[in-house]
Amino acid sequence: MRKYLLKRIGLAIGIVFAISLITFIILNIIPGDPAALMLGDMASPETIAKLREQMGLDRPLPEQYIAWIFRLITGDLGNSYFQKKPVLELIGYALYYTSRLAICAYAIALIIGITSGVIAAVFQGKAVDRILMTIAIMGISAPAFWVAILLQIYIALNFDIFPVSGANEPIGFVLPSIALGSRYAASIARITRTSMIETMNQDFIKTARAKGLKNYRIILVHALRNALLPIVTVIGSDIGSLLAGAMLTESVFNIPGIGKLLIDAINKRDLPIVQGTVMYIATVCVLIYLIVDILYAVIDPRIKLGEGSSE
Amino acid sequence: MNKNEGYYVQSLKILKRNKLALVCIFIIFFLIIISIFAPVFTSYDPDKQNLSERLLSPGSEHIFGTDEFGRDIFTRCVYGCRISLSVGIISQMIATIIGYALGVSAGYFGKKTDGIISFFIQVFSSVPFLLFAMALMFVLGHGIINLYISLGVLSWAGTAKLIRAKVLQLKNQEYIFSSRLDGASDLHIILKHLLPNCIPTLIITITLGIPSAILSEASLSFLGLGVQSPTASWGSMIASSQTYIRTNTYYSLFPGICIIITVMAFHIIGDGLRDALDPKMRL
Amino acid sequence: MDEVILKVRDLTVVLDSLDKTFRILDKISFDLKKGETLGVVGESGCGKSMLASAIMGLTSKPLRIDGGSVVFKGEELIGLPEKKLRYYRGKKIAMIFQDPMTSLNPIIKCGSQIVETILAHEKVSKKEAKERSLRLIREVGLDNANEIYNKIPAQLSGGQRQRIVIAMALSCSPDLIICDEPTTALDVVIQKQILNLIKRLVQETRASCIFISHDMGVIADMSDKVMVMYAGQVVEHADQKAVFENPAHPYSKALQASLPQKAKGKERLHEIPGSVPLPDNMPKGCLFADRCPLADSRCKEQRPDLTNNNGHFCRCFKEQEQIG
Repeated sequence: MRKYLLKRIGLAIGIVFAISLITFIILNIIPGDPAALMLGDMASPETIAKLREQMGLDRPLPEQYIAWIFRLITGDLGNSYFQKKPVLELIGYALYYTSRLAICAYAIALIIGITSGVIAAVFQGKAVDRILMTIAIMGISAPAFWVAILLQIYIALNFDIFPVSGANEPIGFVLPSIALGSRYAASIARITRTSMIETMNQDFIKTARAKGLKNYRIILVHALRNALLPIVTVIGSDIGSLLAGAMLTESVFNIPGIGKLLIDAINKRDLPIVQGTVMYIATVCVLIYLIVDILYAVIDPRIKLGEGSSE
Repeated sequence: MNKNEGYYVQSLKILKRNKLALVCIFIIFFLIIISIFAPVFTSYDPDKQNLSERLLSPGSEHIFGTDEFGRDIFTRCVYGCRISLSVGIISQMIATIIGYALGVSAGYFGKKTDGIISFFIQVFSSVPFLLFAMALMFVLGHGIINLYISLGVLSWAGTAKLIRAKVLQLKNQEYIFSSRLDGASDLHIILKHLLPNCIPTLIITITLGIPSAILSEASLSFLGLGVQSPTASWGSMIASSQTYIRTNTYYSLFPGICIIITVMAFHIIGDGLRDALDPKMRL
Repeated sequence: MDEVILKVRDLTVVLDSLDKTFRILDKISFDLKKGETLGVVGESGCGKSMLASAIMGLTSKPLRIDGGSVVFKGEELIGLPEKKLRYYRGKKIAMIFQDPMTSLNPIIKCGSQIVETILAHEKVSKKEAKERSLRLIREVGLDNANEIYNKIPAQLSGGQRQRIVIAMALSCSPDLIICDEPTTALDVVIQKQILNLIKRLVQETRASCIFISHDMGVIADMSDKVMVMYAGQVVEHADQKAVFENPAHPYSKALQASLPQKAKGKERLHEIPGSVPLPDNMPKGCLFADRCPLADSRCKEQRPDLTNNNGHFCRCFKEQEQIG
């Protein structure tokens, strides 16, 4: 277990480094001079050159990368060109909204997804199953931002309690969470169903039936607990797209989260914010994958015994 | 090869039983025709502004109505289909070529090559896809070619992972081993022996990759990081419709429905193909 | 000793495929008395396990019970609603499955899996149920009961797991225990131990037992009566002694001839040519005709019935000719 942990943590660190390198390479082949951009059209070449020197832009790229990495490790993501504030502070403020939205959405998705997946599996082939799975496939096919707009049109505009935009009160999170969560509810429902059906065909379910256990107990205790294990891995791999989806949903509902921060920065070509946000989110994702992997090992007693790989 | 033929004949039989998938194949076929012969299906110019006919409701002239510049929404949906399908298909081609090449190399050559490629597979599957697509589009700028590239180079990891696993499983089979003993070159084995066996996996990954690429394109265009305006794209149409949700509901509705139908059709075909091509599903 | 506790009549199970239905079990009938052990023998694919599932009402789609009756202690089980069937399952009729590696839930503690069975059927406190489970674990020959109680199946060996399955089956003192090839998945040495354990426990609890196996030797060791099955049909059914000393059906003879100890010293091991016909490819005549050394044209054209010769049932024209 300890060896596994160390190996997994080492890998996570390696991945973060590789991501930082990719991010740096992508964002530094950018055409246009950030210094010139910051100072505007009226600036003289000398002032621009001076600023370039100040910002370290005149030094060779590898040197810039190393300097950036060192600043990253100390938690310094630089300052915004335009907002003149530390990027980390801006991200922290925005992340408050984004993480709240993401967590609410995913909680909704888990509850609805697992419930409907189990129901569909239990009634496999029946009308309920077909209806649920049709809804699910529509759910994974609809872009979250469009669902968000539909909710605005048909719910927010008709029922005053839901604001069309902004999220100053908790109620403001309801519609965005549904919009973002629907897609994950759909995919979780599909996975739960497959996993449940697979588990229900296993021998130990027949044992449970032969023992005369009640149906709900067979489904919830024996089947679902085993079927949930693969779902845990999916939860981890959803995080990246969940945050990205949150950005889109935020932009529909005008919530000042990471999405708005990043898109404004992209439009103004505010490089430190773009670089910092991408790096920050990527690191968060890798960290969550790591936690999920470790959690998985804890939940599944077979992995602790080193038997997990054979399953 | 005979054995392989039997395999595909049998898969086709299973697929034929799946009526829903057949309907969806028909839908996609129809959408491709529409995209190629777009001018035949509509008499309007998708980009030509006509300010006297702004924001009209659906009617006999404009069956989906018009947008804020008086452009016919139906026409723009038809031309948007071109963008979506081409981005979906071409970006997945790129992703498949990269994914197959790297997956095969990792699985076949093993050792250090495998170590490095596997690490990069891990890196690219941990990267939040849309976020990096945004960063790439930010750097490369608007445009459809840039969409092909960004979505292609960022989505190969899944394919590579599956191909690597498949090759590892195939590598030790006798006929591969014996053709190695006969002195067949690596390239020969990779193309003549491994590729045919990977085709089913590739078919499934491509059919399921296309809808996610289409959704990503829509998202990027929605954020203003996709095609250059005034080019019509379903995502950018939804973005501009936002201002008019109070007055012109239909405006947001149509492009979204286009996305749902297209993506859903691909998903259903993908599911059907997986059932038909995956031997595990067979009794 | 004479009370009949299980009466099976014309039990038929079919498999529904897309366009056809196939008969998997064809009109099985037998009686089982209290304390008696019925051995059911046949190659794999003969429908032995299906018989076990059908008795307990555990057939699930695409399989379906298509007629017949199973009367347990005077109550008809076929057509009984799930809720009532549940009372019998685990409480009155218990089952021991083939593969202990897969028949226990991999992520639940062994002890809890036994406790669960007790709590499902009896109004006892959790504490009592736990104590009883520990006693059962000791009874099936596992010494460190407290330790075993808290382990998950993956931490136990195959033999230990099968003992847990047995403890589970015994937990509510059933009247009938169905053992579905309980030793097939185990090592030879462990097999013997488990067989002895089952034999001892069945005798001690005076439960009736249906013992399913493909191994004639094991059947000879375990049963009072023997039922030989072939391709979903009963081909011979009689007392253990009668079947082993005076087998009537060519299939029973062939099965015995394939036993190592019987063949010892004589000739080399006898094998039965061919394999059990599949449901979609059943012969027109006697189902065994294609593999039978005695088969003639009549055997290939007509299906023989099960005939009774002083309590020795056999389904064979040749045998009937000899008697008649």
